[in-house]
Amino acid sequence: MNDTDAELYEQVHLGEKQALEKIYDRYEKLLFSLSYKITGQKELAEEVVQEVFIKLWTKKGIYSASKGKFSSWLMTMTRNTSIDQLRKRKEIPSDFEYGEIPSENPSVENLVEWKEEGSMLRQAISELGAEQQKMVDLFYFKGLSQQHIADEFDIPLGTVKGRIRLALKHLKKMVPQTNVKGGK
Amino acid sequence: MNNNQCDLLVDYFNGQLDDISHRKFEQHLLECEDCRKELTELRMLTENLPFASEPVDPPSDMKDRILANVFQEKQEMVETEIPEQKPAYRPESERKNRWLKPLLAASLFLSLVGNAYALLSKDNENDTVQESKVTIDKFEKTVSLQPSKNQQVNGTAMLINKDGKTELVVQADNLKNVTGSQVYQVWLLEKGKPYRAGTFVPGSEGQGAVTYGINHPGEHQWDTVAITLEPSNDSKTPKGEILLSSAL
Ligand SMILES: [Zn+2]
Repeated sequence: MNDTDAELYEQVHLGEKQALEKIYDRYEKLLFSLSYKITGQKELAEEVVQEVFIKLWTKKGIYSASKGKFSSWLMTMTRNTSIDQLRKRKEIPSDFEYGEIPSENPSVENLVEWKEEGSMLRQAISELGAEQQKMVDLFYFKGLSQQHIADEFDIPLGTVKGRIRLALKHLKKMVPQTNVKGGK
Repeated sequence: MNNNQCDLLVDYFNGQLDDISHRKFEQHLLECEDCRKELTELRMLTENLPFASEPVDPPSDMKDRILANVFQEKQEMVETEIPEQKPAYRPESERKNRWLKPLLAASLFLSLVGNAYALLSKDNENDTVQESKVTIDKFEKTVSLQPSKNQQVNGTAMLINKDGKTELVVQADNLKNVTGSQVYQVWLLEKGKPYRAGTFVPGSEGQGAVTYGINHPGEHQWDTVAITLEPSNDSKTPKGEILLSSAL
């Protein structure tokens, strides 16, 4: 676990299978969990993770330092791929509630950052008002269109963007800042 | 006009725009400082949100499946002459068992049913079977691929053992030329579940071949090999109809 993501990615670039496998081992669970949160289906989540790693492996130079932190970039790609998959199947899970993942055997985060951020974030989200919780979910985790969100909330199209920003800013304020990250 | 574009930020962020609108919006981003700022802000505000995902254990065999599929993506097409090979016979009892499985797969892949039967009857002609079992022989198995209905294609699939690793060699003739990003894709099936097993495009004579090192980790009982024509080289499951196939 000594290699940094950037070092590993460099090796992936050179065709080192082991380096990709290390990245895979590091992020498998996070990416799977993220995709499962979005798609609500394990099979679909697996397909998403596979698609992400195929891109990572085949498209040389798909990531570069200019795209920000590797992990953030990887998570964003996974989120976008998940939403794409959902849209392709035209299946938006009807269950929009937070924290309702039916899990027979509870699992734990395997990355330090996930562990720290995760509990704080979930706590903060749960403290948001119901409307703002739903806004974060529909916008970020379901990736709905502006129109779809307007319909869900029965609000004018023109106010959607403002409501999203408000909810996200509110959330950001409620999450304690642990350290300064490259969120420029 | 500009105002219209600014209203598309949310849909741009969520990838909801069609290609043309997407490109138009990116053009707009170059010109509109407000949108650039808002987009940066959205990204910053959501950067850590994936960490809100409740941890879920992936299936224990997911890694094997995914990495095998990922690593076969670099598989290069090889144009080799496939030498004539004698089929490798197996003891009757073992062969019988091996022919049962394809039928199960075939029930899932209806188009394979006919082929599986064709092979069954063909196989029965060889009833005088040597009792010697194939051990570390180079060639584990050779099958001729049966064309699906209305297909003029033919081909051979071979499993070769090389230093303890199994390679699948597939060769086919009379293939139609591909257009655009089309490729021929070889699949290994296990109980109806397809695994990618090599990609190729035919040469000008309609002949194509590919060697694929089977590196799907874990124990697999491949029961069928099949070839489809795919719209591009990244299909995770067959999109085209099966052109050629055989039970293994
Ligand atoms: Zn604008």
